[in-house]
Amino acid sequence: MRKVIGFIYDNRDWFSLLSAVILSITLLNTNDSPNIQIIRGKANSAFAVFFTPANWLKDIGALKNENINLKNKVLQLSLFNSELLHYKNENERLRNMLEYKNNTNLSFIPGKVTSKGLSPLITAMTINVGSGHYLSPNLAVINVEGVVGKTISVSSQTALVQLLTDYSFRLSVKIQESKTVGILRWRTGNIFEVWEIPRTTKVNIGDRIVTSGYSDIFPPNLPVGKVTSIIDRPDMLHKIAIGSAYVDFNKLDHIFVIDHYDE
Amino acid sequence: MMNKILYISALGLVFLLFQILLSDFLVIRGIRPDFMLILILYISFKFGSLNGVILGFSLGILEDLISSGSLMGLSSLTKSISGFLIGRLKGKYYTMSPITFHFLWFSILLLHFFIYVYFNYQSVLESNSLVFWNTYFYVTIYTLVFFLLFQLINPVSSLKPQEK
Repeated sequence: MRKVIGFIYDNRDWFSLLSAVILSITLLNTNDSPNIQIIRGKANSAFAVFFTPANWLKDIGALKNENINLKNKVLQLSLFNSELLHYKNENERLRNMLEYKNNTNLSFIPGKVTSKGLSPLITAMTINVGSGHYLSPNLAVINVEGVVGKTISVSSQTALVQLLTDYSFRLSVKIQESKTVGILRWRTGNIFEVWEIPRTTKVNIGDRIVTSGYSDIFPPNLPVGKVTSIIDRPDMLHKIAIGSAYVDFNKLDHIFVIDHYDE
Repeated sequence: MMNKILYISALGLVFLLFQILLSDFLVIRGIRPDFMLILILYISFKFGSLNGVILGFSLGILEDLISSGSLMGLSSLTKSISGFLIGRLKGKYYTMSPITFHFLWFSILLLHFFIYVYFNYQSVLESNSLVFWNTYFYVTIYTLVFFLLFQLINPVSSLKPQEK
């Protein structure tokens, strides 16, 4: 027995590595376990306190630029709004004439980003609303600029949001002008690709890309981005539209979770 | 012994706070530097494999717990392995050629990030390998740049390995 203990002691670095590897692999195999999700949710809530100063500093630093941008946006939107009001009245009048149903109604829960974790790759973030605010997994998350991602797991006071920038995220979108539907997947930085666009469809640079509505999670017509270039080669069956997102994923702070929508 | 544990724990805590408070300001293209890995490299160079594994595993578990969306157990796995391998290089700066020494720690860093990115983006490697290799390249280079900055302040060659 003493020999065994002596052997382990002499090779303690190897044994510690072995233990660490076994423990880590065990944890990797229990990733989907509800207990692990609960522990992570609680750890995230506990560590949210440490992220507060960084979030506060970021808010302060961004305040001046945000203020200028918002003033510009308010001006643009108020001009745009008056134009839209005109169209709304006209639209309502025509709808009444045709006895159409009302438009899509969305219900939002506002939230704030508490942490984007510590790992070198940012694919998800934690927000300060959870099941206590009637959130559940698979709800669309947006901000004022457009689609941000979807909730993937929820604890009582926080929810984990998978970002659109995660390479494994797929989103059904449509080019608003041509109504062509495609599948969005992220490329890099602020750039994404829309696949499966028929070659016969006309797509122009600058066209708006919005959610298609062919999903249980995302309502139709949520803004995603705009077309910046098109890949169309004779050897390809489909076109690929390259787009840039409206959302600045480096500056996410306030978000809205769509908890309910009527078609 | 006690002093060493306190010293490593305090540094671990400082670098954890460093990562929490600072890394969000340094995000480029959704990628940020891994300060905790840099600490593990330094501690392993100075104190050897055992301390490297313990620190790597502890910081890795903390990172996994706090990090949204990543695989639980992945950081503890990669950081423990890196801590162990770097720890094997303890004191070797004086016995092997500097080129071999630097090549070895650089290879360990490459291995660390390869395992990390591979586990996260295995499907991307199959569907769009360019994106996978780009991500791998940027993640590695970004942390490496900060490691080299730390080198300017406290070069690895100046670390005197501590006896067991």
